[in-house]
Amino acid sequence: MPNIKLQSSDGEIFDTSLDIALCSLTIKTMIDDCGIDEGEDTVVPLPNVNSTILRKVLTWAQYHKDDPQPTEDDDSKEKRTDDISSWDADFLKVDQGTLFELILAANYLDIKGLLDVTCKTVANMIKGKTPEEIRKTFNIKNDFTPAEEEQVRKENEWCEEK
Amino acid sequence: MSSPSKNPFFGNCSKDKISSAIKSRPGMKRKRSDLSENEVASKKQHFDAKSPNFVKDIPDEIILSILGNLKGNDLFSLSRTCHRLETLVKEASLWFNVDLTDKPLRLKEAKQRLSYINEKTESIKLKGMVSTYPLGCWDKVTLSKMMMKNIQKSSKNLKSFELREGFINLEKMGMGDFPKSIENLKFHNVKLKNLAEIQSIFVNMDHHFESLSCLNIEYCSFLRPYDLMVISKFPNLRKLSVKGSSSFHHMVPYCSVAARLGFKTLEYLDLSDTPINDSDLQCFNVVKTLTTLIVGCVDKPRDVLIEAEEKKIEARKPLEGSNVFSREVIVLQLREGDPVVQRLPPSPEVCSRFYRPFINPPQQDTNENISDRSICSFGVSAERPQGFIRIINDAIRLNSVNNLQKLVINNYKKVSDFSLDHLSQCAPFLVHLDVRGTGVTTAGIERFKMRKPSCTVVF
Repeated sequence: MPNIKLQSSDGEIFDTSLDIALCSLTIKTMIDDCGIDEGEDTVVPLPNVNSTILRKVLTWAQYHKDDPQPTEDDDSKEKRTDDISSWDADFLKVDQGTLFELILAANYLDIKGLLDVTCKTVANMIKGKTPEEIRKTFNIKNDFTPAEEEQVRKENEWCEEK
Repeated sequence: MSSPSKNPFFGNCSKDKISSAIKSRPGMKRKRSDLSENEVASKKQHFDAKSPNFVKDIPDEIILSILGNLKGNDLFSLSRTCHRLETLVKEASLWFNVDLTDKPLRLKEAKQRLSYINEKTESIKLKGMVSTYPLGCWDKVTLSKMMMKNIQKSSKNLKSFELREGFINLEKMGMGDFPKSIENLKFHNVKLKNLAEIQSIFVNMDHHFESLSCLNIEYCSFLRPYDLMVISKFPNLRKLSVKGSSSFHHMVPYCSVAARLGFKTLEYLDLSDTPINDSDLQCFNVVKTLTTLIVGCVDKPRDVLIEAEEKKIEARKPLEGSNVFSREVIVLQLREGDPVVQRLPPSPEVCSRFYRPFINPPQQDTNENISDRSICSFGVSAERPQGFIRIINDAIRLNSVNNLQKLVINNYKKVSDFSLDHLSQCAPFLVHLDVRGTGVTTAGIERFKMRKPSCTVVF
């Protein structure tokens, strides 16, 4: 496989194998659209991804490059978040900022597998928590006024029994 | 950070080509076209900022794919954190299959969560609170008439409703309050209050449950053999499970009529974990449409459990002349001494039926209830079968069911090679046979496999 050069937002150039880079549909589209020839000394700029994150993304893609193509989404299938492989779980033992940057990068680069597994990881951080615990975990500011909280409580309740 | 046009490391690609490639991205499935310029800008901004914040920096589409991994209770908690998440949680597709069974809910809590259901909702799974051991004080009502009305109003396409550990007060609502559109109704360890023993809870429900095709009433002590009479009249019922119904024995009077006159579309019947006997089971051999039959009694480890349960029940004999158990309260003495058990008068509104725990009747050894007698009553061959089978009445034999495709018989000691010999000749469509824990021998299995090589056998 020929190599390709990827350029992160902070200017670092990553020389990587083309089949790894093609895990990203965004890069694939760019290459297809721009007609970048293999072997040419082309640099693909990725202005939305910094070098730390790009390095992680490429590590992930390197490990998963031979995975079968993910199947279409199915609404009716069981929601599962416990099917994260142990390699992925270890890979995603990162701080929250990095995790969200990985999500944004996976979204921007359009890598479905990585987006799925990172979203599941975040979902697992939400599971079983109270609203207050969720706010703490993700540093969410409570923007409900006390009156609104009362209102929400009432609206969410269907009429009481007579 | 600089914009792409100012980026000095742009390689051989022209900036226009790149930006158009980023914008259009024809290969993408997720919609990106609506990602506005300032959203892109905001994304860039936080990449340079220290670290992205869940609510502030992540675009809607990503949050929605995160929320897609969460079930109802977590979505509800999220809706209480801030405005943005509250709005996002309202997204209809998140409430397609509503599963609230990860947490026991009271009526009020269930109502709050179910206020998010919408016309897309197809299934609801709820878990209520009932006490696991006969002590009714933790039973909290799970469903109400009003709630069912609201469910019906909000989601007209509801197909499936599941209630686990639920508690229903029959004075306040009945089976008729479940939406008519339901095709799949599942109860697991559900308790009913104020049950009138004089008639089935399903009485007159055969017209109401016209679209019902799958009914599971598992481990529910309220279910009585006579309920089968009404259930057999449900016009589209294909699948019935009465697993763990502790009162299902000596029910020939009900079963025989129900099986002969009703169950016209029944394909799947699960009678496992019930104390049914040969005669009861034999009644079902006239249900022509039946393709899957499951019988099985509890395995050894559960027997030990039942013994322990029995002892506990022995210790709480019903009060003289009444159907009601007394309540016991264990008083823990904090300073010294053992806990003291005090007996309180029974609460008047709860009848004894509530307290009937789920166990098989202690007087019988249920793993001998089913024998070759009933198994050999299923299936027929055009020719008179060979071997050990003794035919008593050919007319009855020829009238019997022979469409069985899947048969599960577990832990009945008295089911032996006779049954295998019979099934190998008289169940032409059998493709799956599970006889784990029965009295069959290896030789019998070998003989069966030789005669029916197409059938998978588990033993």
